[in-house]
Amino acid sequence: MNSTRLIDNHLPFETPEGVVLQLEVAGLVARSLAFTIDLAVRLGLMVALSLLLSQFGGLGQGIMLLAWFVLEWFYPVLFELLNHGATPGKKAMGLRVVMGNGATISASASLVRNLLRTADFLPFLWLSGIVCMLLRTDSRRLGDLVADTLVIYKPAAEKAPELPKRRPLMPKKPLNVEEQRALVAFAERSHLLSQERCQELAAIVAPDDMPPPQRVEYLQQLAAGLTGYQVTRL
Amino acid sequence: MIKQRDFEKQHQAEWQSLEQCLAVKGKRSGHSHQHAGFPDLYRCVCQQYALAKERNYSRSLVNRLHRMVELGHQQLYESRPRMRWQLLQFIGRDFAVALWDERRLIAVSAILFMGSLLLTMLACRYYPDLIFSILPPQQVAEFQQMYDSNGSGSLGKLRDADTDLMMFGYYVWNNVGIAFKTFASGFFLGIGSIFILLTNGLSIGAVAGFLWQSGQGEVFFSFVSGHSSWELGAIMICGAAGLRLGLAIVLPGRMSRVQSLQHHSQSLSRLVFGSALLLVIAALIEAFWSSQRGWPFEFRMVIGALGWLFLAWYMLIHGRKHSTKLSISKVSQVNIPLSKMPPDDMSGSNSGKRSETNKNSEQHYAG
Repeated sequence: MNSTRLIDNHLPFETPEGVVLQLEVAGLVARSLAFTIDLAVRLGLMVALSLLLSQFGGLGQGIMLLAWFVLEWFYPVLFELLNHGATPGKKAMGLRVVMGNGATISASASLVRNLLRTADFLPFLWLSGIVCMLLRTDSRRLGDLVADTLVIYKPAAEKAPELPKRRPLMPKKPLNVEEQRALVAFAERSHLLSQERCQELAAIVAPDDMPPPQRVEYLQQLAAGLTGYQVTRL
Repeated sequence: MIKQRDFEKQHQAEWQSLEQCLAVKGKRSGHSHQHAGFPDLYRCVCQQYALAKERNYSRSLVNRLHRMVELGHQQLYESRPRMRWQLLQFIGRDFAVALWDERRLIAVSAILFMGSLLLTMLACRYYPDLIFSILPPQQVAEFQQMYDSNGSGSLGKLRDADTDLMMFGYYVWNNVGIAFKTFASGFFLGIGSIFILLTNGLSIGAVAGFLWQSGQGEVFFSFVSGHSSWELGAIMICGAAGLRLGLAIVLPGRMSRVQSLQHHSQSLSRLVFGSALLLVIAALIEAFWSSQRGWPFEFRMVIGALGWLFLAWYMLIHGRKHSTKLSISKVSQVNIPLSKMPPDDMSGSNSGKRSETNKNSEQHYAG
């Protein structure tokens, strides 16, 4: 969220409402895993269909070839269009495909990005696609470039952390924004850390003349003061 | 300046109702849109998200609002096409227009493909030994046996419907796959498409010329004439799409290479999808009509010629008419693409920078 350009997978994008969304781009490993899961699903379907349809002679063979064709070329297209941009493999990895502007993927974009898998495969084993993804910050493969699509992580719902209930306190001298944030973040996460670790962290900023258990409480009180949480007197 | 807690209290109800809207697992019918207040609600939350970021409220709150905005954005700007209507419009207009607009490349593709096909056919007609430098001898023997006019071959004799269906599946699987690859391999400067067009032209021409020379011409041509226009036309169109893909990279004009690729993306998808439809029609004809027996040779050739005439009309007359109509109606439309924001631009995400210049002005409390 900082304005300095860090090496990360966040792609800033401004919506028409004028707020900046940070799309979290999925990298090569997550996408390869999703692809592998999809491959397994497809092969499983093909084998199952072959076993089932081989009972029906020529008619069965014709339907089997049609099914193979659909699975080979249109499996990702159908899932991306009917399942909010996620094939089963992507869903398992928590990914989805969206347009470059964060909107839901369109039919023509989905068709183009999936037909061009052939180009991504060349010269062998998806070399073109892998090189293209590694060279770009938004880790798009060739098909994504032409169709203007992105593979992003689905925004996960976080449980709102509870600030520990403390009597609000004001700091003795004004704190700058970074310091305020650090204090609030510490208080929000203090129930996830062990007591010793909390004290260790608190020792960095809290006054030295306090006993260690009190330091943690003191910082939590400051955070309560900063966020404006009122507590009933104990 | 409101403290975070009061801010949360003030807007909690709005956030909960928006989260409910987003949680409705709407299928593509989009439940959220039936909720009349959704766009308003979403825009309010956008503003609150910007405020929360600006005022440096805690990370967890900002993340929660960010998630709502991201999901809301996706739902609000979702394009939900009405599939059936779109398909009719695609066949009736869009595909024809895409063909007319790419007429030059389709001509190039046709010259490459039909040129190599006809030249090889004539060459093999008069110098039949040539075929052995193009195809392996086993394959030549197979073709000879297939089009055997004595009726011992697999063609020209009665097949049952069972086999017809099997062949239909095979034709779709094989031919559409080849067409798609013809398109995709054009990504490498168009060379892949040119290569596939030429090799397919060579081998088809060689077989035709060789069979013609060895007296099986009538059986062969009466079999292939019916579906020839659809199948060869589709391969040429995919070849043209592949050439366009290559050209977009080689000659991007006044755009960046990526932009020029994206600029052509929609027409490419139309050309390739249309070709797939043509190939399905070709497979239907090939499996259920070409294999029929008992129609006179001349009648079959007429049916084949009609196919070519229809394609020519569809592209050159129908496509041209609708293309001019569309371009007249498009003159008044202006397209302003949404630009991608560079990370450190003037926007709401910028509190970090400002806080360094005047650190004490951004207090959470009235100090």
